[in-house]
Amino acid sequence: MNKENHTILYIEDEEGTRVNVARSLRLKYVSVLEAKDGLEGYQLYRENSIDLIITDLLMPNMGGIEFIRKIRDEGSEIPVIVMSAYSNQKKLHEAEELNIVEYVIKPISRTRLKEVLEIGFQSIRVK
Amino acid sequence: MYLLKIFALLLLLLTLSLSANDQKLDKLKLQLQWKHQFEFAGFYAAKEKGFYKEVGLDVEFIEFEEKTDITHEVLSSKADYGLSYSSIIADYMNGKSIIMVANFFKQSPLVLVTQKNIKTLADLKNKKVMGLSNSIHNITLFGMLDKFHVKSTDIINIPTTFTIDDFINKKVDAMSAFTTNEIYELDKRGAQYNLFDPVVYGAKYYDVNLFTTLDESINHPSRVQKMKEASIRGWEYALKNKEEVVALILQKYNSQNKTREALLFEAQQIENLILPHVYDIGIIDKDRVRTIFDNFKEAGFIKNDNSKRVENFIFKDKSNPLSLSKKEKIFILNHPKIVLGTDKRWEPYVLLSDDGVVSGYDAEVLSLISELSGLDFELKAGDWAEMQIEAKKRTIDGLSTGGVHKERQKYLNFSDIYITMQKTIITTLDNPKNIQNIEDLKGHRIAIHKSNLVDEKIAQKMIDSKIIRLDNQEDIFNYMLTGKADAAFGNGTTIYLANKIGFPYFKHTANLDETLKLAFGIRKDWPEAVSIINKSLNAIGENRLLEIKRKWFYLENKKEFDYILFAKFAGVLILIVLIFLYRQYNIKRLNIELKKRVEEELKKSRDKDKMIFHQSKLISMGEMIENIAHQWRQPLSQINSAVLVIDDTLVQSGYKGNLVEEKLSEIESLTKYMSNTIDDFKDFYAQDKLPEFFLLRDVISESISILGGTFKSNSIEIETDIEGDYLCNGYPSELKQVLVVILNNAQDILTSREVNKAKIDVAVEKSSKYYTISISDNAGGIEKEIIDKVFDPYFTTKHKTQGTGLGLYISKMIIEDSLLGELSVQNTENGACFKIKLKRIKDLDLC
Repeated sequence: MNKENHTILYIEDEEGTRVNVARSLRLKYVSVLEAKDGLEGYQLYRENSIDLIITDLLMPNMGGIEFIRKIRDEGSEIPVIVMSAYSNQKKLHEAEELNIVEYVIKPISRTRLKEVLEIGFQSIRVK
Repeated sequence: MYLLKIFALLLLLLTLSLSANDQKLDKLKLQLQWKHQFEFAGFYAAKEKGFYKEVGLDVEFIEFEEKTDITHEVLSSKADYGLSYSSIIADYMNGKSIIMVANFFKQSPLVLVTQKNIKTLADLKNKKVMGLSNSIHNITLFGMLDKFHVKSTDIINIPTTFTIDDFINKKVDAMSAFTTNEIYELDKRGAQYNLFDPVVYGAKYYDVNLFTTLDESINHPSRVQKMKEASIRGWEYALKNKEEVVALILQKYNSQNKTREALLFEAQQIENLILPHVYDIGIIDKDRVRTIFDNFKEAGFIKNDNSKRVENFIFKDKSNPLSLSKKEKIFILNHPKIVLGTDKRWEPYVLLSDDGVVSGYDAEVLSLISELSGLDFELKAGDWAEMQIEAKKRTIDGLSTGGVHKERQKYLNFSDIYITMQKTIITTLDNPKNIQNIEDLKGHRIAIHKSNLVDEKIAQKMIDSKIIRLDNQEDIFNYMLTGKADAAFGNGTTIYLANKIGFPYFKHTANLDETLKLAFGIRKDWPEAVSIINKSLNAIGENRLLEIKRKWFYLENKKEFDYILFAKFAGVLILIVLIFLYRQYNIKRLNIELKKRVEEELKKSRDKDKMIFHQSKLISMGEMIENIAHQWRQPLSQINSAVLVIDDTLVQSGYKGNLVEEKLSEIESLTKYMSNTIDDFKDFYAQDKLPEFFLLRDVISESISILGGTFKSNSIEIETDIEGDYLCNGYPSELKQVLVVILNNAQDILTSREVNKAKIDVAVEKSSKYYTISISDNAGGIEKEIIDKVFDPYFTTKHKTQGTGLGLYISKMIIEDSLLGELSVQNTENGACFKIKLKRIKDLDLC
């Protein structure tokens, strides 16, 4: 199977979920970078050329919102998918303000994951 | 402060100079409360060993005669001082001008002895009891009998013969006796008896109280003080030298012809009543006096309820308000300043200004102690660990802001507690690990202050947590902020400190069982300092300490004064007064009207408070559910991610078939379902703002489905009978809350009464104006006595931990105030039936 030539940054603090999802993503994409919080994610973002970001919201050290705000402030337009266990409106609105592609609530099914990834990459092509 | 010390010194010199002067002795008569015996040993000792003489007194003893009224003897100047029972408290309250100077026996020696066949006091009904007349002196015995439901009219009182013969010859079934006298006689004669001591049943009555007239205390306060101090000294001597004093009684004061053995027995018993190792001899506890007064009042011995204050009954030495002992006074003179170490990082106990001035809660308490006692303190604020080392080395005299701990007790004596603070679990505001109680700390990292012994003690119990010991509080905050620690222990000051140093990111997440109790620790060789501090703290009083606590910790009064309401209320009042004055209506009607208004306004205010309480509870429930939702979804998310990996792996190896795909999809739909469930709960707690149209059927079935799981596990059958599309207007979530409360109560009672075939019926009936929802159970109904009270606030049949007693009260308020309906309850054949009557609106075309 030919892997798509994309680099994905995946930020998630729960190790169990992160390892599984990253493993699955790696079957499809050339490069998948893992970070356990926003701070580590930001470091990887600075050091690599990234096509798509998937991030959790509530994480130690630097949360998802803060991370997105930081890269948006620096002018980055990389599509971001938020994957959070929070279903409350406030968090959702906060994230939408930061020009994200999709806000998905955990747990996420295989079909839904495929769907949002497609939407994410589509938004690159549009640009 | 120096003036005070000079004054104290002068006083001391004066006392000493007086003792040297044996020229002019004041002659005083002391009325005893019984015949000569060891009961008055301290007074004999004070006389015979010259303690009275040293302070310029010559005391003569008057023996008790039958029918002597001791209070009367003193008031009519036949005696100057008297010794008496607790009954003098009643005499004072009944208007006698007397004052209590000292108390010697902390317990009354009066007990009841019964023949062996009487095993419990309940057996005394219609039995002959000697010496149990209905007099104030027997209140301890009657109080005890009351616990067995035996009244004074239930027994046959036989006047006392002052011997134990009738008891030994079994002419009486029981008699009152003194542990100090009759018990010895009974034992000596080999009598068999059962002993009932009121002390065992909670009686707390003073005995052998030294008192005098109010005049004496006003005109000769220093003589009263001398009489008191010399008598105390006499008792100290008598208890330490029992044999010698018994010999003295045998020689000079043996009008009863007691034997040496009897007197020694009495001496031993009396030591157990004076308890010199527990109490300072002679000391009077005003709370105890008040308790005794209350008991007398309850028993009807206080005739008129005048406003005499218990405090004024107790003699105070004006020049020595703390009743400091000589030793303590000398200690103060010898120790101009006590240096206490304290933690410089412990605001607001300790606040350190740039120029090194220490203020704060501790400083204020200590300065109050100085003001009262004359003992001066200096607070040395430094690193807490270093301060403890210094205290150990005695380069400082002790510690402030410390708890009482075994380790510290090795080198310090501790005062009474001067502040108590609840210990709490502290987390960051978002509380990522969702810690709600001490159990949740399992597997998490807790940061504690290295030298905080209370935290250490709690931490040692937390074997399933990782404890990180840090040097100071700032580090603890930093660790939590950077995710290196999940929680910390705190108290009232922790959040204060965090906010003050610019970390407003923390909250008290849960209360711990422990409280932080602080006491002043003083080097072991200075016990006087501790007793001075304790006497001062006692004089300052809890209320004053609480006031200071509020001031420094910015603790608000729990209930704030409602100024707007007050203004409205005052406005209403003034208006009413003006109108009424203008119209010249009679006063009586005005009063009634006013009273009604006051009650109405108060009720409104109380109802408002309760509603606010309820709402804030709902809001925090909503927050809590949001947290649970988050916590709940994490593992669900992990399950789905595992499905992802399984799918990939099976596809790669070519093993994946239809059945596997079907099962994997099933897992995913189940996790989705579980995730949605939590949203249902959340919606239930949402605070709707706007009234809306809703179908009764929907609200009822949603309420039932919230509790569905527990109904099932408790095997409760639920039947609904709702035919039509009954449309209502209002707040569906509020109605849902009420339904859940009622359904939940029904469930609780069905399970607690273990009802067979437990069932709840929910039905809706329609009339021309109303819809009536009825919820009935088959649990047997509500007891007649309480059915009127179920809607009262704070009424609950559940255990404290399970119910607030507000559920039905709030429900009624919601239905009647917010939904403009009615909520009522009645018993049916099988159980209780709650009815919610809601206004019916015109049928709308729903299509």
